[in-house]
This record gives sequence, C-alpha cells and structure tokens, in this order.
Amino acid sequence: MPLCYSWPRFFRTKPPTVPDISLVSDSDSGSTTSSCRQCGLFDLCFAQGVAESRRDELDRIVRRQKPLERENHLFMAGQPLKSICVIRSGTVKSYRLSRDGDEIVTGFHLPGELIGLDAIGHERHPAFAVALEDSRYCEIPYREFQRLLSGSPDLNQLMLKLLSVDMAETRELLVVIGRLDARARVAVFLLNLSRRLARRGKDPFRFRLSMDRRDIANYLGLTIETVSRTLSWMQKNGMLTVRGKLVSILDVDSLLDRAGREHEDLLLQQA
Amino acid sequence: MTTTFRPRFDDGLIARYGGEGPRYTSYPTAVQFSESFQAPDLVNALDESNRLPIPPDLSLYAHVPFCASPCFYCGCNRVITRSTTIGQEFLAHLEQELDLLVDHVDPDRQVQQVHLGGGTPTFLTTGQIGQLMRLLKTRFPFAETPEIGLEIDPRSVEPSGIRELRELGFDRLSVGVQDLDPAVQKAVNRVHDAEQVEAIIGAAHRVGFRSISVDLIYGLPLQRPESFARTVEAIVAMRPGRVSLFNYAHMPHLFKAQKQIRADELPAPATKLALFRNTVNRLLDAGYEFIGMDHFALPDDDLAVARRDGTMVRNFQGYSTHGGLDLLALGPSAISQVGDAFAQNRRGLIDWQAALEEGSLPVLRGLLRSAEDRLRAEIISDIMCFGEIEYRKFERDHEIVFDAHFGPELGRCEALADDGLIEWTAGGFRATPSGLLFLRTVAMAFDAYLHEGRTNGSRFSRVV
Repeated sequence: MPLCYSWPRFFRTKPPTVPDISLVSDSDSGSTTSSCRQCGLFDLCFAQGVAESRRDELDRIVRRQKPLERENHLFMAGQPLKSICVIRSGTVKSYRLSRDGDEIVTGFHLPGELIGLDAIGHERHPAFAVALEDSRYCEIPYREFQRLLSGSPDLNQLMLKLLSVDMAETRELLVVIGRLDARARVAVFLLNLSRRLARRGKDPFRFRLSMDRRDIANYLGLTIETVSRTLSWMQKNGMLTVRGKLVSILDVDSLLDRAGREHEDLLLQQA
Repeated sequence: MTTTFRPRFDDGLIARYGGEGPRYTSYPTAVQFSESFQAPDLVNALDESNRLPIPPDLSLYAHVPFCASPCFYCGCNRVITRSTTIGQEFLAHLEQELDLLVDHVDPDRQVQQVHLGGGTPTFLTTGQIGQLMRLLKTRFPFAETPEIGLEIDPRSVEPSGIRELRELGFDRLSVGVQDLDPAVQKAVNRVHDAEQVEAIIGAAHRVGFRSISVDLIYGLPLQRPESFARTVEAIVAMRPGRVSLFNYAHMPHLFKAQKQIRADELPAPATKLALFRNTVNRLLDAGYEFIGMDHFALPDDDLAVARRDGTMVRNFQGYSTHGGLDLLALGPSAISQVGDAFAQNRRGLIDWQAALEEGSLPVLRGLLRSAEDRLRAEIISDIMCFGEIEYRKFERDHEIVFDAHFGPELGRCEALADDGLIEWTAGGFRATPSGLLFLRTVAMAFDAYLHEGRTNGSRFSRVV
C-alpha cells in the first residue's frame, strides 16, 4: 500500500485502515453491475454526462469496489492522488486535522457524488475520507481518467462544469454558514441535504442522518448542545420531527425562512 | 385512543385466558437477558445515544434494597436489616456508580424523571434521601419541572416527613397499603393502621404532591370480599390519583419470604376473582379510569391524561407518562434501558458493591434489541397502553407490510377475535371491553420468544 504520510501521533483514535485498492478487481465487486449504464445510480452519476461515444471507455476504467465498512477510510490526507471516487451507496465524511490533531469536518458525500476532486491540484489528497455507514463506491484511476480527458472535449467540459459547481456551492455554503446564526445554519444544512437527496431520487422530506451530532456540530461550527437544542426548537415549532436518526421535514417554507430566502437557489431543488 | 375503557368480566374468558403471562415492562422480557451483555455494551449504548441528533433526556431510577422487616408476599430484591450505618455505606457506593455512569453521558442531557424504589426507599433517613438527591443534581442537569417520586412504606414515614420530602423536590409518591385488614396485615407481616395511611395521603395532598398512588394487593392470605371492600372504600375516600391492584402470585419456590405464608389461608380462585372484580367495579364507579392491566387513575391524573393523549408508555416502572427517555438505573438488580440496550445490575448487595470497588459498572446481564425486537416492542407497548393497534403506523415507521410480516401473529389474533377478546378495525384491531383484562394475552401473540419455546416453567404471574 503506497503511503507517503504519517499517522499523526497526537491523533486520539486508532489509525484507520485503507482498503487495498490494488487487490480489488471488477470480478469481486460483489455486484452484478458490469457497466455504468446498468448501474442503478447511472441517472444520478456524473457518468451520465459523458458522451455516448465515450461511455465504453469510461466503463473500461471504472473499478467497482468492495463495500467499505463503517469507520473505514477511503483515503488519507497526504496520500498521492491515485483515483477519484464516486459514492454508490452510504455516506462518506471528509475531514482534515488541525495542528492540535482535532478533526475539522469539511463535508458529507452522498451517492452519485464525486470525491477526491480537491486532490487534482497538487495530486495529493488534502483531506481524509471516511465511511459513516457501510458504503459502496467506484474508483476511477486518475491516470487513465486523464488519458480519457485528453481525448474528449465533452468530458473536459463536463468536468470543468462539475468542478465549478462544486466550488461555487462549497464557497457559498462556507460564506452562508459563517455568517448565519445557529438556527439558520442548521436550516441550511438540512435543506441542502434534502435537496441533494431529491436530486438523487430519494425522499427529500424523510431521511436518516448518518452523521452524528458531533459531526454536524463540527461541520457547522456549533457546539453539540446548540445543534440538538436547535433541532428541538424546530421540532417544537412544527418544522420537523426527529426520531432517533430519522428526520421528517414538515414545513419547508418555515425552514427556508429560517435559512434566509436569499439562499433559495442554493437550497431548493433546481428545475 | 381517546376513549375511556370499562372492562367487562366474562367468566368463560377468565377460565380460558387467566393463565400466566409476562407483564411486558420490557420487550424482550428480562427472561431473555444474557450474560454475554456486559458493562462495555452499556457504555456503547450510552455513546450511541450521545451521538443522536437530539439525544434522549434521562429518567433516573435508584433501587434502595433495604427493609426493616420482611413482608411475606414480597418477590422484590431486598435486604432485611436494622443496621443504622448500612444506608450511609449504600450512598457511598451509589455515588461511585453515578460517577462511573456520568462519564458516559453528554452533559446537555436533562433529567426529566427520578424515581426511588425498593426495598424501602424511606429506610433511608430524610437527610440521606436529601443527600441522594444532591448526588444526582451535582452530576446531571435537571429539567425545569421534573417528575420526582418515591415509594413509601406507611410504617416508616411520619406526616411531617412528607413535607420534608416535598421540600427536597419530590412531587409524586406511591404508598404500599396492600390491605387495611388487621388479620391480613398480620398474616403478611406488614402491620399499620388506616389512620397512618390517611395522615400520609392527607399531608401529601396539603403540601402539593402532584400525584399520589396507592398499591393494593388481592389474593393475600385471609382476604375476604367483605373485608377487602372496606379497605377499598377507605382508600377511595382518601382520593389518591392512582390505584394499582396487584395480583399476589404465590411462588414460594422462587421467593423465600413467601414460605411464611400458609397456603391453606390463601383465598380460593373464585374468591380471588371476586376480590378483583368487586374492586375493579368499585374503582370505576368511584370515578377512576382503567389505565391498563391492574392500574386505575382519576381522570385529571397525569397518567390518565397521558393515556388519553396517546403519550403513555410502558417501561420498567410500569405505566409511565413519559416516553423517549433513556432510563439509567442505579443500585443492585436495577435495570437500565438506553436506546435499544437493556442492562441489569448485579442482584446481590455484596456483588454490586464489589464491582463498584473495582471501579467497573456493575452490569450482570442484558440484551441489545434488534430492529425486529424494537418493532414488536412498539406493538406490545401500544397493546398494553391503549389496547389498540393501527397497522399503518408500524408499516410507515418500520417499512413493512403488516399482514405479510405478521402472518402467524395475526393467525393467533384471529383466534382471540373468535373468542371475543379483540375486534378488527379498519386498519388494525382493538381489545373489546371483555378483552381489556387480557391485554397481556393479546400482547403475547406478538412475542416471538414465547412462541419460539425458549421460555418455560412458571416464570410469569397469572394474567387475572
């Protein structure tokens, strides 16, 4: 396993394990899916945007991986970029470590979303990626992907668009979150999640939060108490119900009011 | 779920279904607990709860295992002692147990309920009970208006003590009366007079206790319908908010103290049934509502309100006004419920102390519920609390098709419906007035472990 990072000695938990990607081949992916087009996620996956003529090539290089168990890492910060990943099922959290070894949560990734794009710049992963629940994913080896890119203006355009959207959303979320009060931050978080689920054909108004309150608090820059208190407040005011990890959104309008109408573009499902 | 119940007595059904059944203070029942569940499993469950988007608030239970003398009917875990120092030692160990637990509970989780049971909580002096409350309050944040209650032995508390308990924050009490007839009291070794009970309940009403409950037991030695009717009449006149009417289960092979009870003095089955029937009818005529099984409450009592509102739950403390709390239990033999985990403490006082002195949580055994267990637990709770099931609720919450998932169970319900215990509704079923006395029997139809044949022998008390 080629690793050129060292596990920070001040990190408080056991070193995570990295799946040995070199040993995994298509044949033991544990899935009957043999091509992107037959994949249940195809309509949601970035691969759909790839021109018809290029899909066979993409099919050839995509590697469907063994399931990744909860708390296992997809990659580590500092590792050289080998592949870009697409989540097929489950949820993946990305995070960095502060100088003191504290975790800083930078995002949550849902099925159909690409992760590892932020490693392209320096060909090295700036963040850790860990499964929050048992997850499945596909790998696209970066070198082969580059070759594919160089022969395909369509694919180049698609990637540029994806990167730009990702960057814009991330930036806007950062700005939004940084300037809002706690209730608005939590509302933005839930509506954003809801929209991404809707985009993937999932129920946007009833979903399980696979991230725990420490992750949500960390991501939003709030204390865990504030996250829970805010959710309780929203529940008391009829905006949603929380039962265990299950969130049911009852009143999108009120949540949107709370988040701030000016962020509607960011939060609502686009036509 | 907002109607009031009036159970109807049907001798044929009682003969047929009056057999043994679990009381379903948990599902799976404690019979399924296993010693493969240990302290680290409880710690995991606490951590899982801490991580939820809104972690459940807390209900604290402390089991004070001491009694000054043995009541012969008792099947509880207790230590008979007159020692005056043992209470203080107990508090020191309880503090150790609290300190071990509190490390695993996020500090924003508030205490909504406190209950002291036993044994005899009032074996402790009022000063010691105050000390116990301070131990709890210095370790957990309390909600603004928590329910704080305890069980009282009328022999161990003076009316002046009731005011002191109120000042310590207690607002609910449960008085173990059992029977006021002197002959019965003597036969069970629990002698007190009606005036003591009246004085305690009167004092509790005056100093503002929010709920007062009285426990009665039918089926005790020398009980006769006429004398027990006098007891019930006296209690009804005192107007406690709740009355529990427990069935005495004579199981001397399991509970040593019961060997002191002469089997030839026990009422015959027909007499016992008359005791139960007369008491139920008298309570209902006096304005008490049927809560479930053996519980009755005045319409304005919190428990009656919770039942009508559909928020009542069944847990280790019996029927309760509050659902959705993690129950942390302290003291020997006490059972915690945290998320899907049940954890019972070591039963013996010495064993419990030994674990604490080693610095470990004194878990003896327990169980982690599966998703299937949880589904069945919710169904059983609805049956026990409301006598009614609506399939759609479970289909939505658990993503099942009720008919397909519960084929054999609904087959068993079919037989109960034929016998008139339940009747089918548009999307489920509900207990008939005659079936209300057999909620346990209906619940048993959904108990997977009972029908697996893993439980055997007479571990459960009779349904009626």
